[in-house]
Amino acid sequence: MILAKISKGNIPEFLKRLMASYEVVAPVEKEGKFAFSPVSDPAKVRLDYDTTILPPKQFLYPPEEKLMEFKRDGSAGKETIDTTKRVLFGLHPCDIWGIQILDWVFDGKFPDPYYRARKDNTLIVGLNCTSPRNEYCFCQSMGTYTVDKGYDIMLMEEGDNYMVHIKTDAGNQVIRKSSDLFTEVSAEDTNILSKDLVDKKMKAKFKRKLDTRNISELLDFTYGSPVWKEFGDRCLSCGACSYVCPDCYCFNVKDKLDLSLQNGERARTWDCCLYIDFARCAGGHNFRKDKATRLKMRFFHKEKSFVDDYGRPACVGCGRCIKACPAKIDLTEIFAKLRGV
Amino acid sequence: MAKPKVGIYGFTGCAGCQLEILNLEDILLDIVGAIDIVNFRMAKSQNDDVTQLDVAVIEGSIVTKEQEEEIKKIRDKTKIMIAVGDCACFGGVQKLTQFQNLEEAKKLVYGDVQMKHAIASPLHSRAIDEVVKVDAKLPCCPMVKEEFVEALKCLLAGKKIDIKPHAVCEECRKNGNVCFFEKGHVCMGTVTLAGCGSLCPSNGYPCEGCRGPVEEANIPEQVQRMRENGLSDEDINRKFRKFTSGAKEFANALEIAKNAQATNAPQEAKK
Repeated sequence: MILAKISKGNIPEFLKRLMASYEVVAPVEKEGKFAFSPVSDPAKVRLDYDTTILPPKQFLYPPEEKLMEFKRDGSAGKETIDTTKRVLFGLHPCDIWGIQILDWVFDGKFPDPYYRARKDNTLIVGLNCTSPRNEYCFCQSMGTYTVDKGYDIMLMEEGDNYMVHIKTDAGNQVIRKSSDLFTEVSAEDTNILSKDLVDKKMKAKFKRKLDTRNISELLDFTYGSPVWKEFGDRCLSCGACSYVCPDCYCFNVKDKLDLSLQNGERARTWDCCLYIDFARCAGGHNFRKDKATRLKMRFFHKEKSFVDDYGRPACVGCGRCIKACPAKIDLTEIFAKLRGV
Repeated sequence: MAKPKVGIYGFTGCAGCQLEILNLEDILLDIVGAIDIVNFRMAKSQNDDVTQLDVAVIEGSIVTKEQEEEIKKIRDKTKIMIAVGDCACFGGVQKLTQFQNLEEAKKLVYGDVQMKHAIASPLHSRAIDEVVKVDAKLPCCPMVKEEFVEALKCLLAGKKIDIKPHAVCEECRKNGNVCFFEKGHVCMGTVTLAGCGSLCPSNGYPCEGCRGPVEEANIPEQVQRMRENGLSDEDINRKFRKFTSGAKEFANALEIAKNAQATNAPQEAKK
């Protein structure tokens, strides 16, 4: 079975059954916006959400996490590995792409055991998009409007039903356990589905665009552009853009002792390249002293280094950074200006 | 190793910061196990005014000649002096008298009451480091007790007190809050030093800037945002100056914004 069908009315029951064996994380309403949150009441889940305040990365790579406990008596430290069985439910393709990019970093040549354990215990249920979810989306430009892997199950809205694309064995097992909630897909269903993908999804118009052609070279050639100062002067160095980014991953590691100074714990926290102390080293020298240099660094890392190293930018076009920036810095505007458009 | 000798003193302020130390109930015994508190008038009946101190913790600002003499005496016998709370770090809310006539301010608050105490002839409020050398500052109103404990641990371990030069937004975003600017309100978190755990925004109230300016606070951009949200120049000054008018960035926000505009104007013209 690759395709199945579930009526929208059966989703709460499906969620309830998932909750029996998993912590279910899904979009819920928060002050008129949406947030991914562990849920216990299926009625609270809002699959009609546009985007969330924070991306789902917080459940694989939390803002603050304890890595280990240690004693100063020379004994071995005790690592903290989170093996909670978790379902990330209703992720849009851009956020699934975001997790794939985190995989390259945390689960590549040098696997990170903390991330890896969470990822291994996480089941991802996607929710397909067939048009921009809000005015900030530019996933079409970033090639993240569709996603071919990185999920276990994909839900595709089709009238009163969701067509269900089962991608992995883990996804298949979950569906099989609740097979009474799913029905077979008819030839007509697949016809409608493919028609929808072509007519609706592929013809959708995105107002917001980012031209990614030769983006790595573009950045090389515009290194000295006054555009960086123009936007850098506006930057508040608040870090909002990178904290709401599905694939910003820079972190800091810090040891904390108790008052006896004998026992402690090592913690990892999100960090951000826009902070003044990010590249400040012992002795006080700062490699990226001014805001323009730091802002430039952020885009060089995400849209150039990632292209050079992994073949694509570390941006999934979710638009969260544009929405979140208190100084209204818009990366699509920066890149348009760099191109002289 | 002998426990470090610590004195905790209050000058002009509400005593809320000292109270925060006592509010550390769960670990109070660990604290007195690690340090020797020789002077803490709020909590102890027997206090030692003579012993040399390893650390002095100072709350409150300096508003009289007598206090000036007293803080100098404490400084003379102290190795490391830490200012805690906005009064000690910036001069506090009472520092607002710097923008008006002191006699008028006094009359506004106390009316015609005749005072015998030294407060009868007050001076403008001063932060501790305007009078004596201060080695570390833990701002906030009141001080953040967890930050105080972390500072103590740093001192015990012989490390520099580590306060990240990040804006409140850092903690606010990590907490997954909806940004007040997105909701159409003005929030001071963008220019204010983090460390409070974004306490106010996380509880539905915009940041009031009580931890003072973050390093390299982008004042011009913040002023611009405040204007776009309909704040008058008077409102903007009030917002910036409320708690930490002792910080020059917050005292002179409008001027800083104006100067930045003047510097950028010739470039704009060239375009």
